[in-house]
This record gives sequence, structure tokens and C-alpha cells, in this order.
Amino acid sequence: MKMLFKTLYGNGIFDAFREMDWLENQINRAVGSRFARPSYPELNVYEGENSVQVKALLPGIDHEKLEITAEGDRLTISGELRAEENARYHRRERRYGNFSRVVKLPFNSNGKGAEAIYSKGVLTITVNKPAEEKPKQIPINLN
Amino acid sequence: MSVLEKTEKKEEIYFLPEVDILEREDAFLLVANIPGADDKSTEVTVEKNVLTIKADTAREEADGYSLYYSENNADGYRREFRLSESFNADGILASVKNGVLTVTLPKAEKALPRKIEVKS
Repeated sequence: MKMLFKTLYGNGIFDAFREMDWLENQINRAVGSRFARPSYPELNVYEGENSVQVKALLPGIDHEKLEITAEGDRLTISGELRAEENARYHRRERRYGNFSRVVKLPFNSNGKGAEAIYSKGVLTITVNKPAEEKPKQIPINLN
Repeated sequence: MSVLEKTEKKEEIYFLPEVDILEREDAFLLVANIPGADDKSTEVTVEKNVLTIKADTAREEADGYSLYYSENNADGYRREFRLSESFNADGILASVKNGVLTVTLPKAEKALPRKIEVKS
């Protein structure tokens, strides 16, 4: 529902939702609520003319244990974050253990033309749109 | 510590980073998730027993892309911690790797466990 508003109304409503996201985020973090935790990893999705870019916030991940699969219109990101052993935790907010998240793409990726880069704790996956999805110029015929 | 502190300067929005606090024998470790930031865009300061973390992430869109959906679009991370007296402010170290900031706070001499010899 929120996404629908963002694409329909553009910048005005978008800023309001960003404020709400911020407030929700701050409260969740401050309260440390187990029930209101955001999905992991958090994602930002960008759309380009020929491809879609998914940025997943995955700080401190062993990228060799990361698994990224593109199947049909679904992109799956899974992996694990290990906790420090032999340490006494006084406060634990960071997420640990296995994780898996599925992103639904607005097209069928056909599993080809995708690349992933992990830098500064951000995993950037670029999936190329299949040829049929690319915007086509429609010639105007004058009569 | 101001939990709902919001810094707004040219519409910049900062999130609180998730933090783990661990204790080792000779030091405390403060580990914060700051994905998108690196050592050049991160600043850790200690003033009057308050440890402040400031990390900036470039909220940029790559060329030819526009934001379609976002769950975390912060300009950076900010968080403050009050330290007790049992820290040696001079020996505090900080490093950033893969979007994780690790601050090492060595315990002050007097706070280290000391074995007291029992004499007869």
C-alpha cells in the first residue's frame, strides 16, 4: 500500500513516508522489540532503463557464504552472520544466525545477466531486464 | 543518551545503528552496523565520558537509476553512549570493515581484575 502511494504521488508523499520510516526505525531500535524488527536484510530497490538494482544492507557478512539466486521473477538472498564466540554480551542488537529473503522482481529475470558486488557492507545486485521489458519507442504515424 | 534525536540539516536523516556491546578480559568492544560507510566517512569522538559515533553513507543513486522502493535510506548513522569511569580514554581504538564499526575500549588499570595475594 505504501509503495503504491510512493509511485503515484511522487515527492510530496514520499517525504512523509520517509519521516514515518525514520520514526518507526528509531522506535524499533530504541525499544529493541522482538516483534517489530524489520526484515533482514533491509533493501533498497532502484530501477534503471535496462536493469534493476537491489541493494541489501549486510554489514559484516562473510561474502563467501552468501547465496544469491535468481529464479523466474524471484531473487533470493541467503547467508549467515556468526556471533562472536567466547565473549560476554552486555547488549545485543545486531542480527545473527541464518537469514533468507526473497525479493519479487517486476519481471522474469530468466536467470541471466545478473551481477553482484559487496562493498562497505552493502550487497548490490544488478539484474538485467529481459529484452521484452525494455521500453520500446513507438513510432508515430502521421496521416 | 538522546534516543529520538534527529538532526535535520538540508533534509538529512540519520538512523541509530544497531550495536552490540561485548566484554573481553581487558577491554570492552562496541560493534555497530553502519553499512554503506567506511573509515573515511566515520568519526568516533570521546568528550566528557560521552562516546559519539558519526558515520555518513552516500545516499546516492547510480547513474541512470531512480529509487523505486526503500527500507533504509538514511544519510548516515548517529549514536551516543555514556562511558563510565572505568575506561582509559587514551587507548580507545576504532576500525571499520565491511560496514561494521568496532570500537575497542580498554579497561582502565583499576578496573582490571586483580589477583590479590592472600598472605598468612
